[in-house]
Amino acid sequence: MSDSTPIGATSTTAAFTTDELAWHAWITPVDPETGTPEQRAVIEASVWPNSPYFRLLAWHPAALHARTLVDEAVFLGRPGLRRGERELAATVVSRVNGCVLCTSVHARLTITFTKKADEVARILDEGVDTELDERWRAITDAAAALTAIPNAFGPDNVAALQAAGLKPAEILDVVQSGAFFAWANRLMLSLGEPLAPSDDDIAAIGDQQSNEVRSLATENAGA
Amino acid sequence: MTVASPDVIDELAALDAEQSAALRGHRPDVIATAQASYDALLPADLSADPVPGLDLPTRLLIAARAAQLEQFPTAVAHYAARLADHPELVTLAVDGPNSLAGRDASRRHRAILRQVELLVIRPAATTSSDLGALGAAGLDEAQIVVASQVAAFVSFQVRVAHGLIVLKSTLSTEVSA
Repeated sequence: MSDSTPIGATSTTAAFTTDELAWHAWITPVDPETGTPEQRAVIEASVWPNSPYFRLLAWHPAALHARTLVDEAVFLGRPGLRRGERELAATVVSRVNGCVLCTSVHARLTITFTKKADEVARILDEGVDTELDERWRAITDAAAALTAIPNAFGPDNVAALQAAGLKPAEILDVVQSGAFFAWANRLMLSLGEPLAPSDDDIAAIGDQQSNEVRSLATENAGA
Repeated sequence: MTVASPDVIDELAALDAEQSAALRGHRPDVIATAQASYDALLPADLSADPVPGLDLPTRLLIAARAAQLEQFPTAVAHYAARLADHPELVTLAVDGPNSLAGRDASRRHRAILRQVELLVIRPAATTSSDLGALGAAGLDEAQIVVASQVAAFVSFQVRVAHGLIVLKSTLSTEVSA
């Protein structure tokens, strides 16, 4: 553990990557062995049951469970905006907020669904103003504007998204995907930190990998 | 059978039932689960809540302060209305810990509001020592998680509401054009 290197300790030094990262909590998560039945159930129903992130959120099981269901409703609900473009919005918000772990997970998912590895790598390395095609430019700008305080998402974003071919319902998918990561990033950033994986993180990393495989299988089955 | 509570995001975006159906109706699960998240973190009372030590006025203070930091007045008004019996907490939410209201606030509330400010405005700048400060002010792990969830949820809630307001105005312009 002592040889693990903190990654992205501040937003200005963050090294964005598509590598697998482990998240370590700064305070003690729920131990599934000693947790209540309700805590164990919502941990099992979460995206990564072995992750200290979801075990930590299980201190309030109903809130964790509702949050898991929002995540699924926003990202898996059909029809609407393509999954890969919802993941792009999640990646952009995470990049702007400086959430290295969220960015790594959703950059990988964006690449899985869109096959646009070069564009995603540039967003991570160069930032959200890197050269993109019209549709990705519009989605990226909308997600970045939505992340600002005060909120900068406005009629020009809607016009650009419509010009790029998005219907109003798909524009709300961009908004809801981005907004969900306003929530997720703030929890990940303020309750712990990403570290290069060590042997202790094998189960949690395995959850991330199996979730990505499962996501692709689900998407292909529904397509 | 319980009576469905009014949808808070519809309230914040000033959507009537018809507008809500037109703009949000394709994602009924998002509507239901977002409201369920609100109801889980900010219920009418904490009689069934697993973390009653983070009391309801404190949760509403956190939500109102997060809304203030997000510069979303209708959300501030929503949470302020729920704090009608605690006008000092409304003042604290609006003016912040570095104010006369902050001077008179409890150490616990001051420490929580410091964390809410970091979490909402500069989330990547938070460190483990910030959670240490919350622990020193008397919060346990579960209370820290719930306080963080309330503030982070408001950052989600106001963005969905903002997007709906923009979409409502854009689409109504198209209809009338």
